[in-house]
Amino acid sequence: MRKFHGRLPRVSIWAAALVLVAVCASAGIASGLKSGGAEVAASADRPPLDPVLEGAGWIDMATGSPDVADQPERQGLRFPAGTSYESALNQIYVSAFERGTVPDGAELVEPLPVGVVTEESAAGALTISLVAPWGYDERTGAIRPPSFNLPGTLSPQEATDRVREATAAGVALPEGARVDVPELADCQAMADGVAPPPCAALEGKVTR
Amino acid sequence: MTALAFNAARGRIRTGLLMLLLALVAGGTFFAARAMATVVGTCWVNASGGYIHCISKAGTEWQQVKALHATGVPYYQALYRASDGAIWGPWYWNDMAYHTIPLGTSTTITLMVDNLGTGNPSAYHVAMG
Repeated sequence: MRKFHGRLPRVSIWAAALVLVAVCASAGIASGLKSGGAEVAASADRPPLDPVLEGAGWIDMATGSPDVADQPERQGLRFPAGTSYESALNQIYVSAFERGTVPDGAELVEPLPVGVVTEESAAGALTISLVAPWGYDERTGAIRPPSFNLPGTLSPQEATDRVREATAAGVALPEGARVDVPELADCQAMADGVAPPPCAALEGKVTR
Repeated sequence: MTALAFNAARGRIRTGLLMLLLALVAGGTFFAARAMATVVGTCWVNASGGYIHCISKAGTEWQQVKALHATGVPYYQALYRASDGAIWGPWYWNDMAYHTIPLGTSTTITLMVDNLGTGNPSAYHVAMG
């Protein structure tokens, strides 16, 4: 009987400890769920964003892909003549997520018309809207977050390892990766200063 | 209380605290490891069947997909959060490369695939880390 009495408190302490761990874990998970944030390339190592990028719909996506029609005006980024859309997206992505700012070789210019993602001037200079550099779904207006691709010849293990290593190192693009380049609908691309008719998602919301 | 009883009680408290500390460390390590772990799978999706929920993960920094069969392209990929109905994407892929979305969130989200190809079904590599 004496032995039994000696063990009882120890068992109780173990049980209490386990309950406490469960409560702490649940509280931790619940607080994580409550915060509910979602950001592109979010990591503790990422530098703070320059004001020109802060709150951009293609970075801050707390409640899913935002509607392009609901976004405030943002400046465009003009790249030197001869810069391809892929090269421009690559520079924007790496610069935003490794330095928190826009690429050095590009110039901030006036905003493009609502719903226009790219403009190619007669001289060949490419301007990209900072509202949605990767464009948006022309049916719903949902802004497309950036993404990148790795060669399909890699094994699944190699592909996931490369992404894990880059994420851990705070590098925007893993070894051998390239940014994805969307095929923009005609309604998102502008040439020689003439805005195209708005996409279906913007009909009735913008006038041209 | 006798000195003997006092010492016994003190010993039990010390043991209990040690056990509590160990349990907390073990619990914390378990949940941290779970949050950092990569979830990998193969998702089978019928053509023209709409979006299929492939894998879900709580606390994720990136999401990856690849069509494993030529009959599985083109396809749509999207991310979905059941708790509030939030949707990210969709992305339209027409190749067999690995595509990765670097979306970071502490919440539970699901990777979905919509097979626009001809395979019934086609397989997709899916991963979330």
